Amino acid sequence: MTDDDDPGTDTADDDGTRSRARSRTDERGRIRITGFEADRVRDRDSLSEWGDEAAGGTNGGTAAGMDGRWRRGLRRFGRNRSAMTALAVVVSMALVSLLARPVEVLGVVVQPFALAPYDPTTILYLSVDPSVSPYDPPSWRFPMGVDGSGRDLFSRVLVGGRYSISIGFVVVGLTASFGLAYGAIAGYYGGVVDEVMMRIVDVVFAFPGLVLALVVVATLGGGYWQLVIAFSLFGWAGYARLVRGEVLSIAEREYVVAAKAIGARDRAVIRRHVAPNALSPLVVLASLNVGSVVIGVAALGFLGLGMDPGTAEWGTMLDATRETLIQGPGGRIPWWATVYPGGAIFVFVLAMNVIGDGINDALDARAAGVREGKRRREADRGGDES
Amino acid sequence: MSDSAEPVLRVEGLKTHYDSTDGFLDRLFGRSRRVRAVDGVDFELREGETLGVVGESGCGKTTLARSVLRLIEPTAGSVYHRGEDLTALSSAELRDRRTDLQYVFQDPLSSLNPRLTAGDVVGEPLDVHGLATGSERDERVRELLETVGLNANYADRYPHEFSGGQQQRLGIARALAVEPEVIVCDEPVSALDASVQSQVLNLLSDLQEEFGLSYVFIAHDLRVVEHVSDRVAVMYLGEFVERGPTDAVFEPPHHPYTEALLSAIPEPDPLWDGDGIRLTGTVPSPIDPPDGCRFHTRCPRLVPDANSDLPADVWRSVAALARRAASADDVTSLTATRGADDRTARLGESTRRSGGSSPRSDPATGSGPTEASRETFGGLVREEFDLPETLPDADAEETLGEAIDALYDDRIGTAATLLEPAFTSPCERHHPPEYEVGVDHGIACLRYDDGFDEEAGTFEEGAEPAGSV
Repeated sequence: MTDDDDPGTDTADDDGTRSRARSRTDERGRIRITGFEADRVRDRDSLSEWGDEAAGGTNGGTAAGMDGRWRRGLRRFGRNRSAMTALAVVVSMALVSLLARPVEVLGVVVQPFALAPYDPTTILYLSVDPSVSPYDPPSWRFPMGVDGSGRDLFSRVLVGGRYSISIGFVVVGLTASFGLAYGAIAGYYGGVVDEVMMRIVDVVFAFPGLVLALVVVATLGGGYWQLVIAFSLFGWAGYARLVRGEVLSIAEREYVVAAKAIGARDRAVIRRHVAPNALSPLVVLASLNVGSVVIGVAALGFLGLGMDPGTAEWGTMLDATRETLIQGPGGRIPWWATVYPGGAIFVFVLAMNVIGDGINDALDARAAGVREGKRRREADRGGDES
Repeated sequence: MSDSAEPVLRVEGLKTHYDSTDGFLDRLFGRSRRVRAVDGVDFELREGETLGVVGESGCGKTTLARSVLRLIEPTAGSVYHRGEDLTALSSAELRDRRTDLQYVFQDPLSSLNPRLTAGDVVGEPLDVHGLATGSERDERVRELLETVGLNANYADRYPHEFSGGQQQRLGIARALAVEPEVIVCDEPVSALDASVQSQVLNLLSDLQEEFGLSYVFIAHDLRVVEHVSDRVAVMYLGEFVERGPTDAVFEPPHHPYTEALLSAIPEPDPLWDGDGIRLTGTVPSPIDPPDGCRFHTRCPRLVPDANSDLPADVWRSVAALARRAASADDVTSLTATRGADDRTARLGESTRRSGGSSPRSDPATGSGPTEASRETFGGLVREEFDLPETLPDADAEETLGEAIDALYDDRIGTAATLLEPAFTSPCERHHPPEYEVGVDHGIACLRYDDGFDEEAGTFEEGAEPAGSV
């Protein structure tokens, strides 16, 4: 590989004298390295495995290569048993509450099923069976008992999910999308824009969230959309701050500079490069937040500020039977009046949190790469051999 | 100068300063700190040529590269592309210009969005500028991938599934997609290992031939620059200190900094005795760059004061002492380690000693230099800076003696004020303009001024260098 420019010193056979015979020098270029010429390296490269792999062998690889972080995350999520169980719980709760009573839109029945035996507002001893009295314990006929106003608790818990669950998702959907846009703009443009936008967020953060919601509901009155407004108006700040922090680091990445270098507009850069890369922590936070919104709605309901008092909403149901927590009429405690709606809240929030954790694990890029890559390589190898 | 045609790219007086003022309070009290990353750079890039830009890390190469394309807004100066000033364009006009001017990044992986497939990465410029759609776009993407030596079937792969060299090819394909005239390559091969470097360099030169590209090629590796460049510019602390055709820059006459860089190129000969010029210290902070010639704090060929009768190397040693005294906050950093055999030799002259410990090594614990006697202390200081027992010039010796007295009493400030006026190089007073030393070859060093006396090695003080700052 080495080539001696000075032929005079190259003649000695024994290495010992040879190295001494060659005098020290401060001239450059006496030894030239050959074999590292670019042409040669390039030729060698075409023989490497990358070349071989090129045409047919990568079929499996290309298919596997198609899936990005999200699809890989989905697969990891699918293998996470507790998260999948939680997902099943949430989905079935949502389905059951949807199918609990028929849904009519403008007088047209769009959902004819009725899993709940009674209408949640029906007072049983008035219209169904005069023998039923308030706070009847659970029985075959009324699996969760009867509440203080003589209504079937089972039906009420099933239908109540409609309010609690949908408010959770609607609020999180609204706040997370707004927070994503807000945070991405603040983080991407930086400077004065960032400063002003983040000070607004600070102002929002300066108030305790539930108290703010309480004020809004107290001002606007109770009701579904009032609750959505109450929780959305200030709920976005957390997302905005999270996304902004994420975007600050993403905006410094070279691929964002690269997108600018090819002449992409700011809007396109944010949409295509910045926001998608900031999305995964947002998804995790959002999934965890569904639970806290549901709790918040229940808390307002418990304080008597959520839905109208008669509404079959889990928190409101708790409020209606609040006094029975200590002692009911006749010295016995009708535990079913609080345990079932409370249990529904508990199960739903727990399931949402487990899902959130599952998503967090599934999208963790650091854990993702290596094992997947290895698996895929093994799959490729299998494909090549066949 | 071969004024054959209008250069593709002409950069005039480009300056990019960063504001590193720390916070609201600093701003309130006007304590602004400006990092002068690029401070007045001119160059021309002609059609089909490669301009190499070299310099050590932190000298502003990347900032220069990005400022030229306005990826960072320059503070001052102009960049003319085909006679039109890029710095005056609106952002929409600039976006259109990006089809002519492209950029290749140093770190191939981080410059590729991990969520986009290779096909999307290469296709994005086509989408952005509406150059191709539908099946035409796919066809063009495949073609581009093949142009840079990637298999077109890889279009569906994600960046992390490629090797470093392939990622860089992908980055090059992205730059090529808009069919640019000029590509600014910011250390495109620094992140790659040697064998892959040569592949990518060859690819770049093949593409240059095929598409008639012009490159601004930033690198810190002189061998790479020598290999690819038609002309070379050497950058130090935000300024060009030398520029010219590659052969001319690699052959004497050199700027002292270029000389030091060239001497650092490794030589594969185990019996090679050529001595690398070791530059002491680090690059000064660009927040407060040195007055005069920016290289004077580290220059092994500092021009002595014309009024001094000291030999040049002794003079430089004393000047080094003066400079260190001005910046030191502890006397121990000005004295040699007791009994140390290896000392940092004064560099740049032929009589250099090998080895060398850190010039700032602390004296042995327990016996601080100021606890030693005055004679021992003086000896230590002289040892640290390689000064003779007595300086040949009586006046100089007297000043030095007083300064050492002051140091012995721990009055560093006094010593600095004593030494500074007596040992100030013309290099500190004058900011050297670029002197024409050959065809198209300029060196910004006072040694190439008419007022520089080659024999005596001094600069005639009366003669103001043309255009000095």
